[in-house]
Amino acid sequence: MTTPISATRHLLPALLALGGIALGVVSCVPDDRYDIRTDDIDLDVTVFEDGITVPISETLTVSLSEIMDKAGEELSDYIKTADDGTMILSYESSAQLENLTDDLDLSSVSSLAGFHADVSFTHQLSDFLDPSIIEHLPSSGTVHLNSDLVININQKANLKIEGISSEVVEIKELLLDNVMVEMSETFQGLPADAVSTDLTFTLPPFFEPNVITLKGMAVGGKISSEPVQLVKIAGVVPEDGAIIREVGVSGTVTVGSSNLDIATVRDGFNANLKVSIANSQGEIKISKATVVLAYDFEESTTVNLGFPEEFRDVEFDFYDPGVTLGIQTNLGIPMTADIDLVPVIAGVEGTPVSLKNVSLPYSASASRTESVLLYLGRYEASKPAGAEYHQADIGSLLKHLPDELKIVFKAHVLSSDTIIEADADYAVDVNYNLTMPLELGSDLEYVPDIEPIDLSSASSYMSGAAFTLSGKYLNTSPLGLEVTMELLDADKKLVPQEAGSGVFAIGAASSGEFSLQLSPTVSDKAIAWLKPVIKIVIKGKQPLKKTDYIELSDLAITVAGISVSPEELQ
Amino acid sequence: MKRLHIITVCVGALLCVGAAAQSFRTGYFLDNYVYGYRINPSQVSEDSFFSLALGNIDLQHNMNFGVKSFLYPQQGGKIVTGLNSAVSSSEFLGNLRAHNTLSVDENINIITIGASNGSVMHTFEINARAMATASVPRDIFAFVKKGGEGTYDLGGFYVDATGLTDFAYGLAFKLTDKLSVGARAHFLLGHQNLNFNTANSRLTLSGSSISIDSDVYLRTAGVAQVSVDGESRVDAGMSDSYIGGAGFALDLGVTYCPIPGLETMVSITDLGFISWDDNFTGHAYGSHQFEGVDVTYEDGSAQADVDGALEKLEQAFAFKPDSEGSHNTGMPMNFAIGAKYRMPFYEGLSVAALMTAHSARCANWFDFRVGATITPARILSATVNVGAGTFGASYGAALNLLLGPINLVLGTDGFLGSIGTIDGIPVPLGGIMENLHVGLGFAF
Repeated sequence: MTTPISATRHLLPALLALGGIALGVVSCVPDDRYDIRTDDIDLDVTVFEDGITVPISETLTVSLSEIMDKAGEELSDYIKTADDGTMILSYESSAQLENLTDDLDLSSVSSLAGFHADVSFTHQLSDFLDPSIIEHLPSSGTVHLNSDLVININQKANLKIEGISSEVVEIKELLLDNVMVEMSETFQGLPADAVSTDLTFTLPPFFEPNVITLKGMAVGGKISSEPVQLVKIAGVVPEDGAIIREVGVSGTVTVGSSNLDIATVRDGFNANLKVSIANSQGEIKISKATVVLAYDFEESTTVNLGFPEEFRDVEFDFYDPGVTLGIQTNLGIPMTADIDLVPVIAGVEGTPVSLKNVSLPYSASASRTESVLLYLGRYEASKPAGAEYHQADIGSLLKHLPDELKIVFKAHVLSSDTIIEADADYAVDVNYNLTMPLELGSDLEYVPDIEPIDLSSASSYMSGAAFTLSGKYLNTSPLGLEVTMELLDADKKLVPQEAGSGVFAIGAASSGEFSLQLSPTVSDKAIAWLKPVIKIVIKGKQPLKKTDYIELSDLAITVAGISVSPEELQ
Repeated sequence: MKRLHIITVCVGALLCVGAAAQSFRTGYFLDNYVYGYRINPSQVSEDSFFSLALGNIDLQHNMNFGVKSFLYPQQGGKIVTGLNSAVSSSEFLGNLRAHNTLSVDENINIITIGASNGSVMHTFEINARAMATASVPRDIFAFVKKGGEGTYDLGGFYVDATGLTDFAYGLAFKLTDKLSVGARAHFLLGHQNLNFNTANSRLTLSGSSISIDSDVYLRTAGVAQVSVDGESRVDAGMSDSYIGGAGFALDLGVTYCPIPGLETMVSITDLGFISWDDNFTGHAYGSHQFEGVDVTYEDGSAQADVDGALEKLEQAFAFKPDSEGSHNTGMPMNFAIGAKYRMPFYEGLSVAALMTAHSARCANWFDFRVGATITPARILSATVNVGAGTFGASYGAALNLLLGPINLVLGTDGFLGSIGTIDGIPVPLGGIMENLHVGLGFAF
C-alpha cells in the first residue's frame, strides 16, 4: 500500500489523474457532419435493390375460346366447334320474303268476286201475232188458242269477269270451287200452266261446261233448271284484269192451247229468264289456278351480325369463309333471282358480292315445301352436302367485319305455269348461315382491349421499382403473342418505362421461358394498374382449335428497388 | 417522425447516463476501491465499509453500432438512411456487424455491507438490477436492402428485458500471503422477463420460390405480459404478478501474487440462471413454402392479391400459444483475467491489464485494456486506461477519494470515437461501451 506522503509532492500526479478523466470525457471527437436535425433526415428508403422474386401461385391456362371471349364477349356467341375441334365463327339467321306474297295479290286469282251473270228477257204479243189481228180483237174478254203459240228466242248479252290481277297474263286453268249455273224463267200474262220452255244458255267456250239447257213445263208461271256445276275456266287471256265475252240464250217458249186475256195480250206479256253463276254464298271461288304471271320483285333482308366494334379496324383475310343460303317455299311460282350480299359498316354499304340468275325452288302443291341450298364461297370442297355451289369472294366481303349483312333478292317470275291454290298459305323462307373457319389466308395482327390488372393494394410498395415478370410458357396454338405491359398510376395514366422494357413475345406453337422487364423511369408515381396490351398474331392457314391453349407457369414477379416513403408506411 | 424522436431521446439518455456496469472495469485499476470484489470476488479490502441507498450506481450500455451505421450525410446537408438508394448496399452493410447489439445493464445498489479484518471479508448486498439486450442480425438488413437469391439468417433477432432484485453474499479470504480466494452467492428474485428470439429462423430465396424456416419464441414472466389474439397478433400489457421467478448465481475469484509487486487474478461472475414462471410462452415454428400471390380473373379484370400474400408470409411468424410453463434464462456471465504490477521505484504508481469476456445470449463482447494508476496518498487514487474490444477503442478513468470514513468513487469506462448530435443530443457515431460508476460509501 502507499506510504503517506505530502500533498504537495503528489499534487502533480493527482492533477494528471484528473486530467486523464477530463481527457476521457473529451476523448470523443465531434464530427460536425453529423450535427443532425431530425427534420433534415430523408426517410425515403429503397429496398430490395437486387430484387426479390415473388412467385405467382396460379398456372394461367388460357384456351383459345377464352381468348376470343376476352377479345369480345359477343364474339363467343358465334364460335362453334367442328367435329375435328376446329373453331368456326358462324352466324345463322333466317328471314321471310314477305314482299313476294304481299305484292302479288294471290287472292285476286283465287277469287273472282265480280263474276256473275243475270240474264233477263222480255217478250211482247206483237213479237209473234199479226198486228191486224190484234186490232180486231174485242177490248175485253178472252182469246182461245187452238194451237200452240211458239215464241222463238235468240238473245245475246255480255259476261264480264273482273278483278283479275294485272300480273296474270294468261289463265291456263281455273278450277272452280262448287260454282253452279242455274236458270229460271217466270212468265207474266200467260196462262200459268200452259207454257213450256226449251232454252239453251251458251257460255264462252273457255268455260266447261259452256252449254246449259232449260226445258219443261212451267208450273204456276215459273220454270227452273236443275243446277249444273261449272267445273273450270281454261285457256283465256285476261285483258286489263278482266275477261269480257258474249253469252247467248236461244230456243223456244211455247204456249199451249188455252184462253188468253185480251187486255193482257194487248198490253203484252213477259217471260223473264235469269241465269245465275255462283256458289252457295253467291261467289265464284276458284280452288286452283294455273296461270302465267308476268312478275318481278325485289326484296332485301338485313342481318345484324353484331361483331364487336374493336374488330372494325382489323383487316381480316379469312382463308375459307362461306355463306350458305337455304331457301324454302311452297309457292308454285317458277322464279330465278339475282342475290346481292352487301356488307354494311357504320351505315355505309360496301361492295357487294352478287349471284346472278339463281333458280329458286318451285312447288307444284302448296302442301309441299321445296327447297334449295346455295353455298357461296371460295372453294367448292367446302360446300355443305347437297348444296349448290356458287363461287363468290366472301373473303372480300369480310375483309372488315361488317356490322350488318344486307341480302338483296331480285326475283323474276318465269313465263311458265304458276299454280295457285285457294286458301293456301304461301311463304318464302330464307335461312342464312355465315361461316368463317378460324384460319386465315395471311397473317393477322389484332390487339384486343383487355382490362388492366388492379395492383392498387400493392401500389404503395411499388413506386419507382423495376419489375420482371418471368415464367415458362407453352403455346399449342398458331397464335403468336406480343405482350406489352403498361404501368399505370392511380389515375390510370401511363407511367413511362425505359426503352425496350415491358415487352415479350410468345411464338406460335412454341414453348420456353420468358422474362418481361418493367422499368419505370420515374420514381414518384405509385404503380396502381398493370395493363397488358396483347397483340395477337395469327399465322395463315392454320386452323384454330378449341383444344389449343396458352399456358403460363412458374410465374414470378421480381421486384427491384422498391421506394417507400414514410408517409406510405403510416 | 415521432418514432424517431423517441429513439433519439432514448439513445441520447443512455449516452448521457454513461456506463460502467455492475462490473466497472476501470475499478480494477484503482487502489483502495472497496467494491473491487464485484470484479474479483477474492479481493479482500483493508477496511470494512457500508453504503445505503444509491451508494453505488452502475449504469452500463453497450452498442456495437452507432449512428454512423444508419445515417449518411449527403451533399447539400441532406441526411439519408442506409436504406436510401443513395447509399450502396456494400457501404451500408459494411458498416453493420453480423449481429448488431444494444445492451443495457443498470445496477442500483440498495445496501452494501462489507466486514473485513484484512484477511477475511464478508460482504452482503442488495441490488436492483435491470438488464435489456436487443440484437438485430445484419442479414435482415441485407435482405431488406438487397434482396436477391440466397439464404438469409434471421436468427438472432433477439430481445431480452429482465428486472430483478439481487441478494448477494460474498466471502473472501487470504489463504496465504500470495493467494486469496473468494466467492459470492446471489439469490435472484425475478420481477419481469420478456424474451423474444427468432432463434434458427431462415429465409431462403431461390429462383421463384420463397421458403421460410421459422423458429421463433416469445416468453414473458412476472410483470411482463402479452397475449395473442385469434389472428396471432401480439398485444403487450402488464400483469399483477411482481414476482415472476427466482434464480441463483455464483461469483468466483482467485488472486495470486507470484512475485512482489505483481498481483494476478482470474474471476468468473454471474454464473447462474433464473427460472421463470411463464405468463405466456408461444412459438412460431415450422417450414413454410410461399406458394405465391394469387391472381384472380373475373369479369374481365385481373386482381393480384398482394395483401393476401403478405398475410401468408405473416403466418410463418404467427405465434401459437404453448401451455404455460417455465423457462430459464442465463445470467450474463463475465470472465476476467487481470494483472497489476506496482512500480518498485514508487509504490504509488502501478500499471495493470484486464481482459474481460462477457457472455450473454446474442450480446457477447470482449474487452481488453491497460492502464496506470497513481495513488499519491491513501485518500486519493486515480487511474486511466485505454482499451480495445468488440465495441472499438475505449478508455477508462476513475477517481477514488477516501475522506475519512467517506469513500467517494467516480469513474467511467468511456469510448474513443466520433460523436455527432441529433437535435443537439450527443450520439456516438460508432460502437460504444460506456459505463458510469458513482459510489458513495462509508469505510471504517
